[in-house]
Amino acid sequence: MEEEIDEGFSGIIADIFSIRESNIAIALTMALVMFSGGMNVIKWTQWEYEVARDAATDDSWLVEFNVSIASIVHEETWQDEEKKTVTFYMDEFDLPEGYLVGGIEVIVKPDADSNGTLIDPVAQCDSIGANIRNEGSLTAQWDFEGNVLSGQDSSCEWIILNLRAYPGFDGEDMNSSSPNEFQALLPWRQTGWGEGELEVEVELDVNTVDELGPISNDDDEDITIEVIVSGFVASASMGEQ
Amino acid sequence: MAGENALLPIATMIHLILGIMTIILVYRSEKAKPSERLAALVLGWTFFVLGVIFLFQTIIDYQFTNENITISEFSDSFLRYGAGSTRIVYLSLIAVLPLIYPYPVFYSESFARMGAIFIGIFTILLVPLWIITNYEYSNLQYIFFLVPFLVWVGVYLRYLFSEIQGGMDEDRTVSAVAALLLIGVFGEWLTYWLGIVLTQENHFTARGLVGSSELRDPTITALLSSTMAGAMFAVTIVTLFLGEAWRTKRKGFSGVSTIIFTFFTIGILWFIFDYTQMGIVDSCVNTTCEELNPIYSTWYVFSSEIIRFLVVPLILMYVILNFNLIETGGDNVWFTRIMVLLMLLIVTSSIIELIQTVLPIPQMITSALFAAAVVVFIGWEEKITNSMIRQSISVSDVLIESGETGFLGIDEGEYRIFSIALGISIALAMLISLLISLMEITV
Repeated sequence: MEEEIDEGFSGIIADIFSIRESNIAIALTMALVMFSGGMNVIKWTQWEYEVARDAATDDSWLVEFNVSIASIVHEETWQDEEKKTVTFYMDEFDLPEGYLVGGIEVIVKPDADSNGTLIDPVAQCDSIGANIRNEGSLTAQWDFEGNVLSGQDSSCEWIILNLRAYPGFDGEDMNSSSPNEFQALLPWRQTGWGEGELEVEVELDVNTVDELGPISNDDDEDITIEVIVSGFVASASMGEQ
Repeated sequence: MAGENALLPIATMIHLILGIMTIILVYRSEKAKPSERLAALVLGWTFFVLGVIFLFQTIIDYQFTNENITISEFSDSFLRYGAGSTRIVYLSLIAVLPLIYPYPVFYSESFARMGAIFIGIFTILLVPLWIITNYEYSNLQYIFFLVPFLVWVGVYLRYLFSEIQGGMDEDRTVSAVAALLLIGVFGEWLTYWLGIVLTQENHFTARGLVGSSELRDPTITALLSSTMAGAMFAVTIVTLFLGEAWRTKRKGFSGVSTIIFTFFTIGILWFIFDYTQMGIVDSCVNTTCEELNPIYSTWYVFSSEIIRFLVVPLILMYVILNFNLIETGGDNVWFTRIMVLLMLLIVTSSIIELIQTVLPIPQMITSALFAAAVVVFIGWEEKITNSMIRQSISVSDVLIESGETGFLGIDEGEYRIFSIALGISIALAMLISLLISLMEITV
């Protein structure tokens, strides 16, 4: 039968620490832990903790949009009951470097003289229909509910159509909750929106009066299409407004 | 969250099987030295609990990869609480083991009972506490690592000096076991030693902090705890390296020194590779988190994950078998052989699968490789098993023969009490986690 020894805790500790050189090595090891741990702790508390906490905690950012406008005007004569599609190439709009396309506005303007003039006082406004056509050649928010893609008018008013190109862009400054400036601006740095060809379809239906006048043969209309592209660049600053 | 981890299910299986088989073998090893038998029981339960942790991680990984769960759903789910609670049981076990093995610091016949009470108390206290505080202070549980660090590093150095300076060759058994246990418990963290010493690892802590910020707010307490734990791991491998370098100079290479040198070298490589990725690592803090380089991720899988999931259980199993923690002879021989073979086959198949994910090797070739490995293992089954249990030196024998400790008698019922208490602790941890996740925290 093996011998049972009732050795106390102090005896056991004395056994472990019975070699002087080993004790020095153990002490050095402990000192090394304190040194290495201390170095890391100092670095953490002096700098890294704050930075990491900032990065992990959301702050309020005011995202402001600097908007620039570029436009192209197209003027053409439509014959009665004629339907034509005019193509605008988005790279022809002269936006400043770094600006992204936010939204597109199309204004269809009938001839200013079509509602009667001194020469032809009985002339009536023609009926004009306009559509922004989604032929898949323009990257934009086609499903956005606020888009106005079709319009019609027979009272010589302008037809104004809108298409949002950049997701979420309405030109208004906004508040964002993000850990840093980069992430606050991240949603506003996507490229590729508003690229391609914009196709505007315009149809004319001339209204004529069956009475004799100086010019009774009104069967066409000069129509002007103005396309205004809003470009933007976003910047962020700390704090809400 | 990262993509699905191929090694996690394998690790789960390995740890659960090893845990159950070790526990069964402990109860069949009535002739083993009581303190070592108890250590084997603690290690068996450690395997089992690790298996449960990996099981949770496997399910969590699967859920996120397949987008079955969102971060907010996960934040108060049983999956999160269950994994966190099991980790408390694991760390408590790790704090208990060094007190009895290899050197029985807590020399008492009722150690099993006391250890069980310790684990039970910490489970009941910490499981709800961490959940209620949203795990913001849970890194404080790293304090449990202090016990293996202080005891095993102390024992390692003490017996290294007595072997080399005192000329007591048999003391190598004690220092080797202490070193292997340190590697087994601290595992993959040891490979980040140079990054920790040169404070580069702080960048990864910051990245982890930002990455997990949706789950919990960073606290300075938690960060300081993990920083100090990191320092402990780094100093452990530096100490082991210096010790083994000295010993190699005097006594020549050994298997243990080779393992330690390997870990030390991997630490240097990790530092270099980490340094090359600092831009991506810091992106989380400076801009927005960028994905790590795929080659870097592959290196992570082939070093850290293989260490954590496959090398660590191999080392701990080697300690159990080679240092007579359980009886490997008599009626237990076939059981031991099954355990060794199963382990080797699982490890081989998982390594082959890993290689296949990186290199475009046809499945036919990898199947042939696996078949070849099976043939080798079956043909050399006896040799392989014998080499695992070849040395068969008991640490208790060394300590008793040198008169440093006596024979510690532990009643048979104590082992049962320990196992029952562990089972209750795990069940309790699960129950508390499940109930709180169902109740929802409204404070």
